[in-house]
Amino acid sequence: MTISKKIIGLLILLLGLSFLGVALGSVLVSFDADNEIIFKLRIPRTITAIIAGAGISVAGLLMQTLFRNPLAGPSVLGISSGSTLGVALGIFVINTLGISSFNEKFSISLLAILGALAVTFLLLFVSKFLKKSNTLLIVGLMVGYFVSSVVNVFSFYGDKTNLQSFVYWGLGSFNKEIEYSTLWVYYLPILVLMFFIFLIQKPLNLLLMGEKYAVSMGLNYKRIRLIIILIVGLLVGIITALCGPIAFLGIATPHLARNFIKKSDHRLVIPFTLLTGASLGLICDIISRLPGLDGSLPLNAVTSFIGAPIVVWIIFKNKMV
Amino acid sequence: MNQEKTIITFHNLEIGYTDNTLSNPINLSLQEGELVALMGLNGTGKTTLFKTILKEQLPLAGEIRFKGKNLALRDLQHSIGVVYTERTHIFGFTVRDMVAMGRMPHTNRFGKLTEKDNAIIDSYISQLELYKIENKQIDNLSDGQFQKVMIARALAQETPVILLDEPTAFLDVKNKLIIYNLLKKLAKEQNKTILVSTHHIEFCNDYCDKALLLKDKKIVEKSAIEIKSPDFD
Repeated sequence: MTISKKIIGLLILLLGLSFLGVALGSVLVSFDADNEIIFKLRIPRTITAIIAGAGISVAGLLMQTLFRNPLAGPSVLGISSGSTLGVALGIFVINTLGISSFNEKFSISLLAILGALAVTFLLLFVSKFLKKSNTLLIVGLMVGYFVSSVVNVFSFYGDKTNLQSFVYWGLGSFNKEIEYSTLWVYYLPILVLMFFIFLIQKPLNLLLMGEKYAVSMGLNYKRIRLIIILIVGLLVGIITALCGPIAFLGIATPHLARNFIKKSDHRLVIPFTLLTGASLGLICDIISRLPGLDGSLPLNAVTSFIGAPIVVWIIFKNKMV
Repeated sequence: MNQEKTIITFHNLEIGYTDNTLSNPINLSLQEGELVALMGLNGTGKTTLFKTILKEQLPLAGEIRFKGKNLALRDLQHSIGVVYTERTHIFGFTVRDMVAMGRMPHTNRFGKLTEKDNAIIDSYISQLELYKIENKQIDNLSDGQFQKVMIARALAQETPVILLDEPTAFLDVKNKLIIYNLLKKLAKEQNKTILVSTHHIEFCNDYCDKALLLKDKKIVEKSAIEIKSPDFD
């Protein structure tokens, strides 16, 4: 199958899944123009699944390219945990101390972004002292545990209402009962960041060669590393603020995309990762609210169910055992 | 075509690490069109000299001049190509994709290859006899084949200077000779300056114009045919 046929196939799949995303749910509804379930719930939820699925996946791709490690990804390296810490700070500390802010939701989102950036910069700093990139994964896991322990302390001392909203947020969901006008505040920066990724496809390809070769071929390594960190931190922070931490999509999707096209050239891998990530986001969302289920399953339960076997497959495929 | 023009000058250059100086001040130069063997026992500083030329590490003292000027990091891509000994693992790159990477410094922001780029890639694939494996995934190549591909990539970069760190370490005799002859041809016909880190005395004697010997914290310039034994006495 040629590359163009594969991309058309993925577009058709995405279109079909989008239709299913709007049509399926815990209740069957008709496509009336004034149907609130469709226009106020399912369409924004479907768009969120597409954008967040694509965004978190392409963030994973950038991490894998930067660290030259197939197991790198926002959740594995603790970046999502950084966002979680930001949100925990927002929910428990700001609410408990009664610090007034102009908009609580945006304050929490900003903290989620700062948390993601802080962990990403920390990883970047640590990576300078590590010779093996696999060691960085272990450090990332440890950062995740460390951050989780801080979050647990917050949770222990937080009041019940805050704890409930934090736990609910942590399960992850594309279903955000937010007005369209507010959703665009999240969608727009994600889309702008995705656009920027297309502009750095050549440096990303050079990074595949390793730092030494890349620099000898004109790459400004420090600058591109900073750009990647900023893009990943912002993407993961915004998406996590909107949907909660999304497990496994970031690590699994780039592998599916690369194996589908049998190429590592970012001029191809970026669009395929975006399309595959959007489709997987939708598949996970559809599974989480299939008709017959009472309410929605937690998004993270579904992404882990699909993503974890893919990660195990990657480990065996790359003979990392 | 081979004109005696200085391209790289080591001026009072000291290399090494703060706790381990590997050389006393070096003052010598490389000319355009020279094929030079860099020889010395392990640990004498061959790789450190490469790293210093490539600005991967700073000299302890002195400087390296490229055509009389200090080379900025961003200008490396059009000035010095390099092939390292260690293997780079990349999934999803064919031999042609890898050779094409050498053209990246010459392409636009998106890395789009022009007809001229493709013609240059074709030329080096042919010169290094890689056409039979052109579409093979590089992860499936033997070490020797891989090294030839990386040399083709460095050549496709079309820089006036090429550094090769033990380029034939994994190659059999036939492929060694292909590389040696190509390096000599490039030096003589295209006026390229090629510095090759090697332990191979026959290569130094039969193909190179001169040798730089690293021993006892000194770099000594010698005629290539003077080198007779592995310890360079």
